[in-house]
Amino acid sequence: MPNDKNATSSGKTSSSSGQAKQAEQVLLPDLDMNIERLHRFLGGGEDIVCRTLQHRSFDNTRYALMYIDGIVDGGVISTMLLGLLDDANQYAEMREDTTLHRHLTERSIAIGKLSEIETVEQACYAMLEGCSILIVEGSLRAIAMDTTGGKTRAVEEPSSQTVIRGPKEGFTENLRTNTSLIRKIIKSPDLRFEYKMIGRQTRTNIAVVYLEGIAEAEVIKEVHRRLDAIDIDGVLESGYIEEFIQDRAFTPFPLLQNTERPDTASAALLEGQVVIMVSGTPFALVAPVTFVKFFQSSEDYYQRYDIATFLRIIRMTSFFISMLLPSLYIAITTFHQEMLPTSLLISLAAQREGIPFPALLEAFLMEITFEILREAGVRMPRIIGPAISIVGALVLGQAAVQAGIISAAMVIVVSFTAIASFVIPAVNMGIAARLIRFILMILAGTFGLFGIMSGLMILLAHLCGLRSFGKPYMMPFAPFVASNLKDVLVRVPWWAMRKRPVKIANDNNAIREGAGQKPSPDQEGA
Amino acid sequence: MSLRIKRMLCAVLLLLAALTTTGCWNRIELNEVAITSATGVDWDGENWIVSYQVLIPAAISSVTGGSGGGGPKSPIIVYSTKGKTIRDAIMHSYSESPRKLFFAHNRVVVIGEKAMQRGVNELIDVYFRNSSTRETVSVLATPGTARRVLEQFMQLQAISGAGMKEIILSEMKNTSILPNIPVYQLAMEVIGDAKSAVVPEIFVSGTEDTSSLESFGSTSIPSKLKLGRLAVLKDDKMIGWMNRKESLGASYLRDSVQQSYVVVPCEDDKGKKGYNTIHVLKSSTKVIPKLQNGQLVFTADVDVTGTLMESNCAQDLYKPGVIQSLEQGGQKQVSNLLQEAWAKGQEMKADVFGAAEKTHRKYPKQWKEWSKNWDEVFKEAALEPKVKFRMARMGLSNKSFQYLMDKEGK
Repeated sequence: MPNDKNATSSGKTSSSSGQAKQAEQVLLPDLDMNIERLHRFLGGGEDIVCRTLQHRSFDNTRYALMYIDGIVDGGVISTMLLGLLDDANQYAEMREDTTLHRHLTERSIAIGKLSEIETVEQACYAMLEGCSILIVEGSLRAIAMDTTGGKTRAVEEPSSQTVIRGPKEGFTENLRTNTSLIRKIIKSPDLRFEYKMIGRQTRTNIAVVYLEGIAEAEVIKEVHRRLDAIDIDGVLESGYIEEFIQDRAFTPFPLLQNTERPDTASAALLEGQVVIMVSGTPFALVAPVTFVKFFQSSEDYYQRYDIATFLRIIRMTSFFISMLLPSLYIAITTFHQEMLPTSLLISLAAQREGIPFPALLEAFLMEITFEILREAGVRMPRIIGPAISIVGALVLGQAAVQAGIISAAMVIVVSFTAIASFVIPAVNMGIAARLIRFILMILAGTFGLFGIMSGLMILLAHLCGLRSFGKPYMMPFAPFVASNLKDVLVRVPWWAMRKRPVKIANDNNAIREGAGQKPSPDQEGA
Repeated sequence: MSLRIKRMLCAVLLLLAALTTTGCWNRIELNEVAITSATGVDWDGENWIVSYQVLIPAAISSVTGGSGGGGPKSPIIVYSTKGKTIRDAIMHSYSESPRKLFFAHNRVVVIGEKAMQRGVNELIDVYFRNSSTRETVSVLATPGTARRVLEQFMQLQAISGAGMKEIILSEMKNTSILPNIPVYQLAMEVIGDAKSAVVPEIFVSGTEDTSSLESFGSTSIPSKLKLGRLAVLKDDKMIGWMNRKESLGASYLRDSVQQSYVVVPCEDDKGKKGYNTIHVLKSSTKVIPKLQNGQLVFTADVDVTGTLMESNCAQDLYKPGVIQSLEQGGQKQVSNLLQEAWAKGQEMKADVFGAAEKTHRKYPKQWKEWSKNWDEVFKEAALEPKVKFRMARMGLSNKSFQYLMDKEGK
């Protein structure tokens, strides 16, 4: 475990700690004293295991093994202890030219990753990371052995970003597993993992991942600068980080993408983006992003390009439907009835007969109802799920229409809006549309289409003003970058996608594939 | 930063204030409007009587298979208001209708004969001045009162206002006897060089009324709305009618024929008479003014393409001569139509064929002189029809059935 990071961040950590004075204490030759101080530093607790050992082959030198139960791999420790005992004879032969401490470090311990520790504080933090500490009496240093273990979730199919065709692996809560998933996909020596630790109390490990030479150096520097500036007590999810490092605080639009999928993260890396992984969450952050990225699914690249293009257009349309449909309905039925075909107008008017509320209020009621249903669906215990869907569908849908409280057309509008909002692959972009929908509904109810248009214009201006790590959010539309259009509304075939996204990846290393790979009949045979 | 926040707050407050000041002033819910499908305009000698055919949405959707029941309900109601001006009459509707009249979906405006004789310029002004009314509304003239037309139910179409529009559009597309005249076109013709216009007629055929839903209990309804003649207007006032034949001729001259039919008499070798029916697929007309010896003459270049629809003469259509005679027959028919319409127009001194515009364009200098008494000039001008009639297809069988039967007989 990254003990070297302990050293770098210890200044910040200990200065705010109540035990500052003690923490700086170095280890003493007295073993009992050391154990005592470690115990005190960690505040005792049943899960702190301390095993004092002493046997003849090691000249009866006492040594202690300390670790925190539950976050270490018990099997590794047992094997290590057995190895120590087996090794006793060897030590007897060599004891002339070595100390026990050195012997253990250099020969005996059957664990890959060891590090030397000099202070109590370092020892404690190493234990909190899942290391086991071996302290030999008389030595001024302790050995930290990487025995990290404990229960972690297995690699499973991502639950929030599913695909039909494509890898079924998803990130887990374990950072090491996550980095390994990326490593397994991109076996390049240029793949860089840079670790940080954020959170005074949680000391959450964070990995900044990028491909050297493909990601823009400026962006990497900026990512580091923003991450280093964070000072918080705890980071439980990448959402904590996201709000600290996004370019603008007040916007409904997500300025960082998140993904649960190693393949999506790898694709981002290959396009020159930087991935920020946070220990404890399967959601990794991707930066910099553009608006259109949120409408791309990893499956677009695994399926044929024609259907991928079609689906992208469907998604874009759904975004607009999800944002605009209720407001358009309100505007047209209360201000611009002349815009509807007569027969449609008649059937809408027939449904509105006897409806007690104005269209705006009706739409608000239904939208709020739906939001409540959706929230209930997410929060409620799984067992009572079917009950809620019956109540939602029958009572609120059908019964409300039959009772003449809500018009059937409004139910159709709201349901279609709701379904459309689920088409957007990125949940956080769907949320943006959801929030804007309500503002546009008020505008539509007060100014009609004129209000919707003004709202959309303000929205467009806002979107054009957004940046993600300095990159314009509306790229490649504003500023217009013709070369990047190959992967926006249309997903061109792979053999035509020669360049990485210009102005996002390092422009000096933009070519990603050889030219002229379009399949064609064999020319020689002809 | 605090300045920026202040500015932002200020902007937000101003926007919110704007929201309250509008008060949604022209917001109107769908159940507050009375959707008008047809308007009728009558003149009783002193006042305008405006009639409205208002839709009852709930009744319509139950008629057309929606939910709800409880016996048949009339899908429309008709009521009238009276006033010094048309808009004045409409104003009075507020004191008798719970809903605001909504004219954007109005399909036809029916004008009674008396109102037609009084003049349509007031109506046109109403249509052009107000944004709620559309200039694409079709104008129809009726010999009786407009209100009676509005009161009639129609078969197959619950909303008779929309039905009338559908009839005139379908008629124009398939037989082209009567043109569909929207308000804007009427206005253009009324203020055109000839100051003459036409309006198709709609009338209630039959003496009884079909204004009760009970009449739908039987397979035939007691009376029907039908398209009839063509009303001719001069200086926005109606001066007379053109019959259907003249009206078709006028359609050829106005180049408004889309599809039509010509019935051509024919004779076989034995002198047996019959008729060929030719479907006119395409037709285009150019009316060209010409000066001959100081006299204004018009040439009508008509180009007609047709296909044979029915033939009951014994003829072998493999023979080019037979086709030629068909073409000649069609040519003669069309020429006659043109001449008849032209003569009727001259008789009424109403140039409804657009001859004035064409003359104005071709002879702008002389027009100054002619425009002073165009009616007289028009009356003297002769029409020289040059009809090119081309048979495109003979249908699926080349020999007429009569021909085959005669052959068997031998």
